[in-house]
Amino acid sequence: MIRNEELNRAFEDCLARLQHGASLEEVLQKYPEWKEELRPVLEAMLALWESRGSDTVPVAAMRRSREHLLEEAQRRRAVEPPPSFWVRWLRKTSGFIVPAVVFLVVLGLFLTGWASVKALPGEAFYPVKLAAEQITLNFSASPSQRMELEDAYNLRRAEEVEALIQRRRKQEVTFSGYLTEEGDHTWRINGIPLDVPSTLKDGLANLAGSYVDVRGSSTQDGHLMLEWAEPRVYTLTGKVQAVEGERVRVAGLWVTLEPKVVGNQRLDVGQEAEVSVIRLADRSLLAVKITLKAGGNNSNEDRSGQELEDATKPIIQPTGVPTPQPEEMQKEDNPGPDEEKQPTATVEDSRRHEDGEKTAPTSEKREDSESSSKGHEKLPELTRTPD
Amino acid sequence: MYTTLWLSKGNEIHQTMDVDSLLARARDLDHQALAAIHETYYPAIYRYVHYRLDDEELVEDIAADVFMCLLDNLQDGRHTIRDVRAWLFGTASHLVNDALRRKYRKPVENLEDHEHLSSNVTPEHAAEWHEQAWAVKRAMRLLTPEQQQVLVLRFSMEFSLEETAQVMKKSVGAIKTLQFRALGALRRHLTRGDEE
Repeated sequence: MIRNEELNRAFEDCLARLQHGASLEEVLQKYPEWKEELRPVLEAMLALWESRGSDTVPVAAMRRSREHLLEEAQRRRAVEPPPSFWVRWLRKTSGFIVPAVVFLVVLGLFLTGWASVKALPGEAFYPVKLAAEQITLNFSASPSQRMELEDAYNLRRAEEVEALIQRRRKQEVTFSGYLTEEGDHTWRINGIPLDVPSTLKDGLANLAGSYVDVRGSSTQDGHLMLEWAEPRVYTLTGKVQAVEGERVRVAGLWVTLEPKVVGNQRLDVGQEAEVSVIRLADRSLLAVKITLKAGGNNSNEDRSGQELEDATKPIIQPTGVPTPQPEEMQKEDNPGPDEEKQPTATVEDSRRHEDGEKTAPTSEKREDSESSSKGHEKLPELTRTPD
Repeated sequence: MYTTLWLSKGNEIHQTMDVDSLLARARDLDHQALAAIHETYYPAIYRYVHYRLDDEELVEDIAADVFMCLLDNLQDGRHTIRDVRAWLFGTASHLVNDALRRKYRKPVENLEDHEHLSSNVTPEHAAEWHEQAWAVKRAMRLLTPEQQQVLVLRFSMEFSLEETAQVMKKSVGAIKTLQFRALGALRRHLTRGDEE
């Protein structure tokens, strides 16, 4: 091995010397020990060198090759237009630009998300926060999970309003919560005191105790001025799973039905129904409108507490912006009335609501709430009038 | 990146240019860039192929095909060419080896026919052709393709050991051993030819 290496080194040295014009005998004199091995290979190499001078490049062949190459390029250029500057730039830089862009996007999303968590209404990242919440809501696995998320987000809204009030920042806000009136005639939503203009006070009294969407403005003197309030109306769609007195179970939720709402049409287990409900302070649901769909199950089943296990998939949709639905109101809600009624009614005629007919309340605030919720399309909207 | 192109036999610097920008323009089918690349490398590629093959027509086809392969590669864009010279010689080597394989599979001629194969050269050209050059060529044909390749690259094209190793995708040490054995074999064939 070492011998070969030495021989190779000697050969390279001889090669270099020959290239610089030394004769074969001169270079071999330096390596007498390798003379026998080096002579034949150096002679062969010299023969190669001498023979190479005879190779000329035919001009015609070169011209033909060049023309063929350029014609092919022309043909391809005609078939596909040359890539734009950005395509070429992307091709050239794709090796590192793609990971860099991915990194920057991930970093940007992280920073934006981090910045938006603490954002308040009116701030630059606040829409990002709302969009992120909406995406989470859209990916919720079930209606109940969606309601839990909505509850959490509405509490966030309330905290944001409190923060705005504390910072005495003027900003329009929209949020949801239970409307309550305290003894000193102070109106509150989720515990936040409201400044109610005199023009809204009468209408607001009708909404007391129910779950409402409100719009208002935080003021620079640390108050929240109410501008508009409307009860949150949910639409429950599905088969009637049980009928018990003045209560009916739809989409897994117990709903109180006033006779006035039901009218005189028979309400049977298995019927397809669409019920518009509002939420009351005692966390119960009160129907303000019921629509029975044709083609339901009209068999005479026991309608006292009987449940339909194979109910169709319930659809629970808030009519307005997302609002929370307390967990207690869901499937474990206990039946309330002792006496059993046979609700036989036609679909509530909205005109009767408009006539101002009162329904018998089953909760302490029912009368007020029901009278303020004449069908979700006709619910009274409280709008602040200019002073 | 600026690359110095060693093209001529005398190891003089023939041309210096921004090879990267030239390739980028060629990728966009720029005629000037393609023509410049062709002008620069065709003679060396042709000579390389000619050292290894005798069929003038085949030599011309393969030399032209090397540049068509370059065009394909540039258009494809999936593989980056780092050293265009090494890439061209590597491609030429592959094409020559393919041609030789086809030739071995379907032998239609023998070594004695080589002079006849080159009969399309002009009488003036043939007259200039040195007898020793033919002897060397005949001896070269008796070497293995690898031995032929290393001798052509090292002593006809005057590639350095490193450049030869890059084109042949071998280590420098392997090239040293290969060239030494190839020269020894060439010498034996030349001696045998002289005796005959």
